Amino acid sequence: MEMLSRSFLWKNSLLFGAVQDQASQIINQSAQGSQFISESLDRLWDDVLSGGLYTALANLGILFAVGTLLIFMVQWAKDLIDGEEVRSFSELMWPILVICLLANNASLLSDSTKGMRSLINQVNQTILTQTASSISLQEAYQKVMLEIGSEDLARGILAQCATKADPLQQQDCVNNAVEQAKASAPPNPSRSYQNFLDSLNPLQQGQNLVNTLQSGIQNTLVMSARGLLIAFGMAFQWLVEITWVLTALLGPLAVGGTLLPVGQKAIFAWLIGFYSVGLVKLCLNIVTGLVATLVVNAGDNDPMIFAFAVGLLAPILSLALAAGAGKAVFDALQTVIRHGLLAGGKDVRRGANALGQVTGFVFSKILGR
Amino acid sequence: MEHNKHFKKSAMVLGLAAMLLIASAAPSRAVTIPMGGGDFFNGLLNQFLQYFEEAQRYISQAINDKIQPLEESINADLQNALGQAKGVLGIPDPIATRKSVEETLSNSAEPINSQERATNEIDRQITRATASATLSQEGQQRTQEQLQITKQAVETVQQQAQIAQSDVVTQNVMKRIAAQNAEISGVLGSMRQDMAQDAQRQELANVNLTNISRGIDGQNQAADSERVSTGFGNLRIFSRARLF
Repeated sequence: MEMLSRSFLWKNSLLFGAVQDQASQIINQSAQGSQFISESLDRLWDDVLSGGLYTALANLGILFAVGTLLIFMVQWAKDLIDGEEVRSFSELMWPILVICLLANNASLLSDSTKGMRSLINQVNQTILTQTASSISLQEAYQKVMLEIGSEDLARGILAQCATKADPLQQQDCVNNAVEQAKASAPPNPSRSYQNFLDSLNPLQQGQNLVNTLQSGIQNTLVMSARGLLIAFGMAFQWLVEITWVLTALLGPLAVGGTLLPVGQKAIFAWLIGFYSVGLVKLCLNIVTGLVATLVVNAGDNDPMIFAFAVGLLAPILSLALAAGAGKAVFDALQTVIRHGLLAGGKDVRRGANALGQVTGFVFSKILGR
Repeated sequence: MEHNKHFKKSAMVLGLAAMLLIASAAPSRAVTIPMGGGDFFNGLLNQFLQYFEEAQRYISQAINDKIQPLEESINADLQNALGQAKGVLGIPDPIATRKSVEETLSNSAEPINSQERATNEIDRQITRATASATLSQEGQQRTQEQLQITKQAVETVQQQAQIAQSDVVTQNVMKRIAAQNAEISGVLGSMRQDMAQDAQRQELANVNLTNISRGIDGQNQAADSERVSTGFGNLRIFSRARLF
């Protein structure tokens, strides 16, 4: 590139190539970057769940478990003396579960946590690669994003032409900007992107310079805001994963506190939290993917509306959805337990057995994978 | 008696005529007045040529110092455009230069449009070149020499006028004309001085104008870069998009 620009060859051979090169370089690097991010998340999970931090928390969880086990044993012995044998024996499932999970630096718990994650991730992958009318959510999302990015690049290059006072220079500037926009356009443009490109082309539309500038230029503030919104959405995406890791990290503490006789079983609260964060991720992916599919299929796109929908409102919506779902499960469990406690021994036994069966089934499924 | 009277009259006329003839026939030993002549005009011409040499030297220096980095930053050949538009006196024609630079840059591979930057900068360099011809150390020296030459010329005229006043063999009208010439040349000399000062003030104003133009262009360039980089920044963010 440097050698060619020294000579005059660049004029013909590399005309408008610089922007294209630059744009495709940015696109490739960024795509690689996001690939690295999603790959390094797997490593992050492995590092966190088998690292020193997890061991320390597992030790703390064991401390909790030992403390609460004493209380549990006292309670259990009391129940045994009172003659509630059947319930008490089914209750014994809990200390055994806790001991199994926390033994050997909570290795079983960390494995099962990873298993739960991969379960949700498989569902996630299925959703993302599922084609909704010839295009998958992932492809639609990436396509729309890339097109909005290229559109913003074209708008930015065109925007500088408005400041040129000399009509000839302005014309040259607009021509260059349009050529560069065409050169750096992503392959297989959607209809909305093609419309944008056409609106820039003065010759095709019989427009004059002013119209081209008018249709092509957007306020820098608006463009920056768009970038910020999308960046916000992506940061949310990252942080959901980090939150998930964090929730997984708190697993030993929740398991350790499970034997506490008062209130809700901590392991359920933790499991629900874990699944809720997974649900946030799923909901976010589905919402953004569907918005992108909508845009691709409709053939019409306003980048600003898309940015608000995907960057700001999709995270809020997915949070609300996941919180609602988590709360519903939590409420259901709480009702079961309160109902069981208020009812007689038969019901309690049935409730506890059901819970034990559900938990056992879930764990067997996870461990079986 | 009558005849004698007539004779006397004609003798007087004759005598007067003879006196007049003698007086007028006396060789006029006209003084050849030194004009300074060739020296004076050659000096002025040299000053004039030096002015353009100075401007030309500035231009060639500016091409090396300023235009070359500009070329490297915008990937274009401007020296060619500058060289083509050079006039006979060595200073590039601003309008022709602007046009050829515009043509050179009309198809640019760079995302940031640099036509205005290049053309305005070349205008500024040409302005500064002519300013430099007047305001540089050599230019000041030359202005001083010009004023010196003018002063000498005025002094010479005044001396001529004074000598003319003491000349006896001439008419009063001529003496008055000589005196007027001295006054006129004095006025002309002071006008020359005023013009030299005006030229300096004008060039100083031009230098300041190029500075203002640079400031405005700098602001425009900053705004342009901001706009283009917003586009690139958005592309960078958006192409990271990935659902995982």
